[in-house]
Amino acid sequence: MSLLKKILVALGVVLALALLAAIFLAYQHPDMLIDFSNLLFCG
Amino acid sequence: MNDMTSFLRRPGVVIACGALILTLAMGVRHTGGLFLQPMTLDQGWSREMFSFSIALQNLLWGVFQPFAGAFADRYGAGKTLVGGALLYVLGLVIMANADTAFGLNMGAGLLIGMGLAGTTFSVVLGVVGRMAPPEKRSLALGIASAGGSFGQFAVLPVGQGLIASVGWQSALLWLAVGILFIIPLAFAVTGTNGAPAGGQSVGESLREATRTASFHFLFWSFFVCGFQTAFVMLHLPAFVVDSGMSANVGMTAVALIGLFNIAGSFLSGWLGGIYSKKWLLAGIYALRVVAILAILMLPLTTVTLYVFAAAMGLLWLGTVPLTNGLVGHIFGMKYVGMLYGLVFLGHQIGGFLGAWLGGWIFDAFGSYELAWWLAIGLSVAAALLCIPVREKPLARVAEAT
Repeated sequence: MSLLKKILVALGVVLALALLAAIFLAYQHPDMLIDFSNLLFCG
Repeated sequence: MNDMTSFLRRPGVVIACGALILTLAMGVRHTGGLFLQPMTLDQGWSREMFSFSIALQNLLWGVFQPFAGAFADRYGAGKTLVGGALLYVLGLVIMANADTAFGLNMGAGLLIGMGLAGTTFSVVLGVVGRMAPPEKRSLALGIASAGGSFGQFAVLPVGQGLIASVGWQSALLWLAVGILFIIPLAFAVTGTNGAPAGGQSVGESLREATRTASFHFLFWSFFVCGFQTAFVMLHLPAFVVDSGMSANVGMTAVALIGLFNIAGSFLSGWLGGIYSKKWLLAGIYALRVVAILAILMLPLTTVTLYVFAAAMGLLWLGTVPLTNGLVGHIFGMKYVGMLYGLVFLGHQIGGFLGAWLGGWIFDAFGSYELAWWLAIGLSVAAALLCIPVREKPLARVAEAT
């Protein structure tokens, strides 16, 4: 694997992890994000 | 074959487009519950009325899945995906404009249910499974399934953001625009059942499957999967709050299930290419027993809840590539869309019962304990049902290949 390809793969992995972390953080504000009763009724 | 066509036939492109289609279809479907409060408040509907339309959607998704799978097997997955996406979009538009129970049930229930059948696992995994060489098939199914898991995790905050910023009606229309992206992606996820299978007809395939014990074992084990996932996702937040924990802790648990579900789907597909799929499936159901027993037996703390959520996430949709892979392996790839669709019907019936019985048991007994024990008992049964599955191609399939 060339150096450029390795760098691109590493960059992709870092971006993917950052995206997952950002989405995970979006779940940390249930009052803003999701009304509990909604999940309770509909999943 | 021109350059574009050969590009779209590359395995990596097919898997990536299949995963993206599942991300969109599964993700938008997962936002359904977010619309309960704003829609019922605005329209003056009861929560039961809204819940019924979502329950109807889940059941009809299961009912139409074998037909969508059979249509994709016979006439091509691309056409099925385009048709499914258009029904899905129409359903969202009707849902956005519904002002009666009939309109809501037609949009959110019937049309989105049909749209889901045309745009999700049975159709997409059929193409991915046929495209991949046998030794890499399970891994390919795992990657595509992980797309659906990612959608469930990622689109929920997007849906809520849309409702908060543009209102529920426009949010539904924006989600419909998102579903339209399935149509260009479908150009890469095409193909009919050109695989050899001894010239078998649809009827012969159905008769063969229903007379094969392994098919019934897979159907009922997938029924248990549907029961458990629907029960846990729907009732876990209430269970957490009832236990005296904050809503924030409950949401983190839900997020952990979603996050680990992505890894679990990929891992089970990858491992399914190395080890026996039926033993992996049995292992998933057995580990679910351990996880549920632990959450019942151990003191419920934030740590034990998070470990439970992460474990359940890892074991969540990992059943999909393994069950789909087993159906294709045993019965051949010709009618895999239809046969997996039938097995998925079992999943949806289980899901309906898991969601409904969980609530019924809570109302009747004042706690979820009996429902948890039911989930444990069913999981033991599912693990045992996987063991006698004959994990080798039927003689007809072996001869044809």
